[in-house]
Amino acid sequence: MKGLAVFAVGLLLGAAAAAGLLYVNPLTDPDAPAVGDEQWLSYDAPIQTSLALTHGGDLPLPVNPPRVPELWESTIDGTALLLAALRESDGGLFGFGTRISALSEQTDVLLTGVVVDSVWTISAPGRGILFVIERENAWPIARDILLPAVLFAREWRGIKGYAITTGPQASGYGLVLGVTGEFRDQLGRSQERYELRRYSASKGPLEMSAELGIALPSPPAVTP
Amino acid sequence: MKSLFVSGVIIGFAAVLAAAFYYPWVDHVRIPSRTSVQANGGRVEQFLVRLPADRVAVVATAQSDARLTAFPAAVSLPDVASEGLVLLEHFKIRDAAGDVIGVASRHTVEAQQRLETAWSVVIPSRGAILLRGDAVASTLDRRLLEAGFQTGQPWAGNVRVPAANRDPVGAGELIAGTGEFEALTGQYEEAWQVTGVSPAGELRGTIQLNTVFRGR
Repeated sequence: MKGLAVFAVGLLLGAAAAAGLLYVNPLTDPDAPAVGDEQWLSYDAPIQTSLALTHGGDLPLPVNPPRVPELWESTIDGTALLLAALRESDGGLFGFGTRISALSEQTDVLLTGVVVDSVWTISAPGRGILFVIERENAWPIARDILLPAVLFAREWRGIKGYAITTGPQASGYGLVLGVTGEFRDQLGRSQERYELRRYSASKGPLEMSAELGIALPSPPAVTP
Repeated sequence: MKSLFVSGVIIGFAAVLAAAFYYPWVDHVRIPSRTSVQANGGRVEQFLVRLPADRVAVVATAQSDARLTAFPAAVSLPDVASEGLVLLEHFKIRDAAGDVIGVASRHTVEAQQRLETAWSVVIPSRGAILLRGDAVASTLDRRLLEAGFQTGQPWAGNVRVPAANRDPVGAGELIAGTGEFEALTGQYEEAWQVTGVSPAGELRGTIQLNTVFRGR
């Protein structure tokens, strides 16, 4: 009986050590790709104030506007849809972006973190349409902000910045595809970053900024 | 006793790490794909949007077409200089049997004297399909008016409008994909089958996306 108790204590200690290792695991917190000549587009933040936001109902975020349907069906309840205005650094409107995100089945908390696959469709009035394909890791935000806010049932305050893009390009950047208009058939890279300042476990982010950086090759010089 | 303790630590440690790696943290519900194979090659799959049930959000910079009625009514775009039409539509997407399998956005933008549409169809258990096709302005309104529709009046009937084909021949194209659609190329045709319009301009009907994809 005593031997069993000693084994159980060892088991618990080993499990706790592994859980601690997972919590600080550097494999699930990779370095962000370098910032280059991206054009940074800020979008509505906190995202509750965006033009439209809906999800499966499990996120601590109210859908917006209130009559927008939830994505409640079992096949899509891990999905979120955001429609936001995208603004250039001077505040001018670049366009409107729809971001459809889904938790990835490649998520594991040992090697990859909480993987989210997102597709942005961005319409720039009078200019054209872009797709942005992104693979993101939400684990650092969950570890630093969401879990403490939930576990201690209190609002998180501070200043923390996150570069969440981890792919799908091998270099860690997202992929930009020019679809129509002046962007047609251009290929580029993207990355996305957040700065959180206030987070509520029940209401989601209360103060934050969110930016999508896109870099496209310069248009070829026009020869007269 | 010491060896029991050490064994416990090692087993506990290994068990948690193994669970962290092997546990299916995300396992989307997947409905079997309803695909068929074309005689001359290519995988055929139809996706459907049932209106108005599958609308998630619709908003546009202009109000000149039956499709441009904002939904929900509270959705609106910030002021945009008159740089042509921007129509942003968002739907739940169904397979040919009518089961909801994904979420889609459909953006239509007028740029460089050309009206074009981009669909992104995200099926969480399978991947994303990114499509591009030409659009024809006000085609739906024109066909509805020809069929007797009057603005502000309820209308019932059956009008089928190819919406984003590259007229007169050819179809829109798959320009990229992720997941199981990553290494594919192909075309699609889009058609709106409208069977009614409410006095508020709400469409009733079905959008069909008929796709044919092949390996690169």
